[in-house]
Amino acid sequence: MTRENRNWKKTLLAIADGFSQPLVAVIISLFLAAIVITICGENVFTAYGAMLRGAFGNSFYLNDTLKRSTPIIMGGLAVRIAWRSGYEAMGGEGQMILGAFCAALVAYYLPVPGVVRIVLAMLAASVVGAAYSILSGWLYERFQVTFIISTLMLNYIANYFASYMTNYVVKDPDGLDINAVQTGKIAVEARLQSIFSGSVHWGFAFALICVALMTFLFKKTSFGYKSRMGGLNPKFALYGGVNPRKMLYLVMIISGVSAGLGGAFEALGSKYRYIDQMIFTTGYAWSGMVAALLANFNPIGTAVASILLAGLSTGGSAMQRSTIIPLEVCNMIEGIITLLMSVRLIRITQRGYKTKRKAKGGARA
Amino acid sequence: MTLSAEYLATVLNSTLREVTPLLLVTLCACVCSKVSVFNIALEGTLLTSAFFAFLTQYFTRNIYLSVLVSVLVAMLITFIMAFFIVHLNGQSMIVGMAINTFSLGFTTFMLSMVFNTKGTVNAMTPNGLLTGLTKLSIPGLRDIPIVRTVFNNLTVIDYLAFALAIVTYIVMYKTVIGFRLRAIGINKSAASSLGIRVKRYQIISTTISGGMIGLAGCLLTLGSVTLFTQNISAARGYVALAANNLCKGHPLGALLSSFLFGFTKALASVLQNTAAKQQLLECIPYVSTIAAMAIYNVIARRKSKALS
Repeated sequence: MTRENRNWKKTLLAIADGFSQPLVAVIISLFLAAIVITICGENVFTAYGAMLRGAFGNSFYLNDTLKRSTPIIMGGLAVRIAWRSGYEAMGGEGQMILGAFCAALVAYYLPVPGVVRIVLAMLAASVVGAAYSILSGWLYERFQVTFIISTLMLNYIANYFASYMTNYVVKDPDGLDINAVQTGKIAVEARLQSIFSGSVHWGFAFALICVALMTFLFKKTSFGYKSRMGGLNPKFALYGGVNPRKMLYLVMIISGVSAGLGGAFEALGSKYRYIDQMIFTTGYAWSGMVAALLANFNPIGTAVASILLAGLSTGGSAMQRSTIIPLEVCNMIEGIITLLMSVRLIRITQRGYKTKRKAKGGARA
Repeated sequence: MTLSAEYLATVLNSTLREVTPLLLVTLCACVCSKVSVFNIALEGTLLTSAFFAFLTQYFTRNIYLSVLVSVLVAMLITFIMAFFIVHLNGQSMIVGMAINTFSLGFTTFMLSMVFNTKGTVNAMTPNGLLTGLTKLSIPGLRDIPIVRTVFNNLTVIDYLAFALAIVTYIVMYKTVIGFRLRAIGINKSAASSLGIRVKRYQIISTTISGGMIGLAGCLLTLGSVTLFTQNISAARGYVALAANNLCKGHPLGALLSSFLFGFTKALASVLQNTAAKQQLLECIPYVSTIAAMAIYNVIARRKSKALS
């Protein structure tokens, strides 16, 4: 066998290895959900058919799915950067909430031309997201408050703060519905326009650009290498001359900007305002985490998985409309997928690993 | 609102009622952390067991059965968590988050299938009025005016929680099994070289301690109030993690740290009658959690510096 041939085979095996685990996880979870649906007295094929049609069935639904996937992609990227660099932070939700809130305010109140307003709104969201992310980084670095606790608590704080502001300070002044807790509707010229005629807005394109940027950053720059090294082996990174403090804050900033922008896209392109609880209840950040996991932290894979997960929720709402099954079944599916992704179910390239190890051991001996 | 002894007693009473569920969950976290199983599935476990306590009460009207089912469900979920982390070598963070996501979806799903709502089900169900756990009134205490207010409306499980803290302490620190469990937490391979079956000990101990979350779940839905709302656990599981972090896994320390967090939670609900806005009050427990951990770590670091 020539060397090229062997490389090809290796790549193919690696790809199969990457795909097999998520595939098995998705199939098992869909099967378990099918049992639940049957117990509830609904035909599985009717329910899943409605789900599939409601997710990717026609251009309207497809648009909806892609629109929904936008914040999920950004949340997934945020998780990916932090986790791959060794910081198990889950603050994407809080950053996204504040990002969406600030973007909505800037786009509504600032008296400048439309395009400038969009840019400023996105800038504000990035800054706020990064600042909130830095806060948890600072708590970790200065006070050793573990990321898990600080980020989870900060998520709740962000949500309640935004809720307070929309309730009492910046409540929609010209809203017809007095009970709707939301900020004012953003003027048409300050919204992210749709790419085609459907509901997919430019935020989706931006998200894809971010995916490309992220891939470049982590594959081709020394920063990406250093951050990955820090995640794999912090001691080695320190030995190699990486400043862990600088690395921590850089990673936190990029992660926060990503999540904050995700919130901004949702506010500027989808809801055109900040509605109380709009990020908290939809769980975009959590879906983003699941997407990153499904793709084993590969940025492009994260985008694909995000679209699938978004399809799961838009399909879920369609299923809820036409059957008796509530859309929370999708959260259950998501949970089971995550659980199954946490362990190695199958390993196609196992033999390769073993021989490699043996070779290494032999060399050492 | 006047600041009288009676009022302070009311605050203390609502603190106690906030502390006990938190204490039970913290105790489970203590045991888990002592055997080095990182459990963030506490939140989801609490939510699901609370739901099953309510559901069993709704269908059977048997309070003993409700408590039993709730405890068993909590043990089952904790077992699954431990099995995935210990036996299958899953990443604990991911396993925990998966269980939390699933639990929120599952309870909301069941809520809308059984009760046809996604919000709150109170004691007045279509199936008739539900009763919660019986409130104890202790003969000696109920005659003293202020003490009576402090211990008002507490259930058996509330008292049991404090007893369990002591029991956990005795088991973990005064018995052979406890020594073995702590040995696992300190050094797995050393423990296994002594012939301790590490994985088995880890799974069984976490599963049993998971039962305490079931009791906490009963307190949430059948305790001082009888109702279930979507996401009723409201991050108590995460707060318990923080409380466990503060007491470094010591069951008696858990009494103190969960009291601290229970007090902030009670403070938030007591202050609701004042002019302060509810949304900002809701932040108090979360802000104080972070603050308490930061302060604690600073003090601990100073101490270790002074020692060295």
